[in-house]
Amino acid sequence: MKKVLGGSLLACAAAWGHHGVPSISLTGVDGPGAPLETTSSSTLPEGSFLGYLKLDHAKYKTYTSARDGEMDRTDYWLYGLGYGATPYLSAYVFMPYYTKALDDSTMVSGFHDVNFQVVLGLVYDEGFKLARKNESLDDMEDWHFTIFANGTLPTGNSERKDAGGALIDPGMQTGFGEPSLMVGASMTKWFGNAFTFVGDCSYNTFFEHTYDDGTKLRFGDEIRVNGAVTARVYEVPKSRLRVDASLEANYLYLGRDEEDGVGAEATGGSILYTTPSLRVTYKTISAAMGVKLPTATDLNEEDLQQGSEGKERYRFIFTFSTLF
Amino acid sequence: MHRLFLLLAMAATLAAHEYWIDASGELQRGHLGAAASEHMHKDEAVKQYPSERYCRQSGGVDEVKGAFGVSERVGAACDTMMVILHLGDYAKTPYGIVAASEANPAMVIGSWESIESVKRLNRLSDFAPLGKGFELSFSRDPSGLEAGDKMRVLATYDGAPKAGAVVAYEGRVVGTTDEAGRINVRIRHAGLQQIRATLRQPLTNAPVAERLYNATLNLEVK
Repeated sequence: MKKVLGGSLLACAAAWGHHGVPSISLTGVDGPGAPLETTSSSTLPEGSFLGYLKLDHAKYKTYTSARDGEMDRTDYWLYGLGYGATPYLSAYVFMPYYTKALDDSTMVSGFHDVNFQVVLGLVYDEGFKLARKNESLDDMEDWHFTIFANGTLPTGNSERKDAGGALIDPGMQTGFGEPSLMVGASMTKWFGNAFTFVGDCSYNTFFEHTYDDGTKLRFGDEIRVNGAVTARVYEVPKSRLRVDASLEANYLYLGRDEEDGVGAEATGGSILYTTPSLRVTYKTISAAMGVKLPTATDLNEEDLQQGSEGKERYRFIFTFSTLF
Repeated sequence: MHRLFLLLAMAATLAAHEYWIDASGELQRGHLGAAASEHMHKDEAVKQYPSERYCRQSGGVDEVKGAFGVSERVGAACDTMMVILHLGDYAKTPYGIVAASEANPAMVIGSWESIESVKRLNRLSDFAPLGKGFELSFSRDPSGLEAGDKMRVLATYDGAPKAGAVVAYEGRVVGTTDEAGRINVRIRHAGLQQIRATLRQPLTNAPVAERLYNATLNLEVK
């Protein structure tokens, strides 16, 4: 359960922060597609802003009929603003708002830690070069890459207490209590037709936090590897409207949390998700939705990790973005 | 980038009939498909337009002015040859595009002066701009160019780079030129290449609203 909050926030920050929407918006009805979860290799146009909204609604499997505090659902909202500082460098700030509900009607909600991200865009065209300002459609067929780095600051509340004054589970808090860091890279190949391949990988790590009750906790490191194929399935060039369908494989490795320097039980493991999705792009507006399903899981203590990643019935994901 | 889409419709309209210079040096007009070198054909247009023709050989440029039309020879033993045709003034009406002089002023949706330039590189190493009107060139020597290669195309007006020109390859718009007048275009096949660009120049105190330049660059790739 502890991994749910931390893992999901970083997924938002890294994978959702800038996945491909700019490239679609800029390219209109032609050019590379962008999947839902996998980060595509796009940077924002110089001097342009991107407004971004995301909802990740997760519904969890429960194993008892009693109202005994099993995780029921989570709603992760993400509000973001991006800016293209140069053709090859974009900066983003994200503000997450989380709601977590247990089956006994316990609910926690609030803004989580603010997240900052910088993205460096590269292209391979007779060697690696920084992303260009004015790309033709033929340029867009080149391999594109990004290197990105994220950092969170502990602006959320990591010391929430229940009615009895006891610290609630760190996984239910709306803050890490300490900064966290993530680095990653993505690659995108548009084949000059309806199809685009996108892949990314990322690694993030957390600092140990000491809670008010003296407990020391360090969330386990996380590794993500995503791959996606996107196909343009419908387009109206005159209206600058296009629809893309994507199929993704999303691998997530969760390291074991450490409590007071000791590996915590019921944390960590590996999950492979499958994510089909649709994206509609109209001029400089883009909306996407899809369902993320845990396809294969290998959790450390499978039976004890209700409410963790890998134990969802499904995750419904919706994104909206606009370039201005 | 938005400009690309605003101009796309116009570029498509202009692409309805294309001009090119064939291997014998004759100006042709018609429909030039993706498999240009195999399926080109001529239409029946035989009209004379005011023109300037240029032939560059061994570094020197010859210029000829006068009426010129389709199926006439632009040049012969030129390293680079180019013709600029002044096609006249046109107006768009609800009933189609007509000569501006024939349009009812109350029905005019848009109007423009059309200037078409067609250039052919017979010797690829002679790739620099002629410096005459709106034209397309390369920013580096295209000798040895093969299908699949990407080349940087340069749009200029009287030799000066022009930004914002919409560029198409084989009828497919690939983007707009940057501040240095450049855009990258990938050569898709061997044989005759057809690279086109459109540039619009708003006019004030003129019979028409804008001047519309179309430039074509032809070359053979082995």
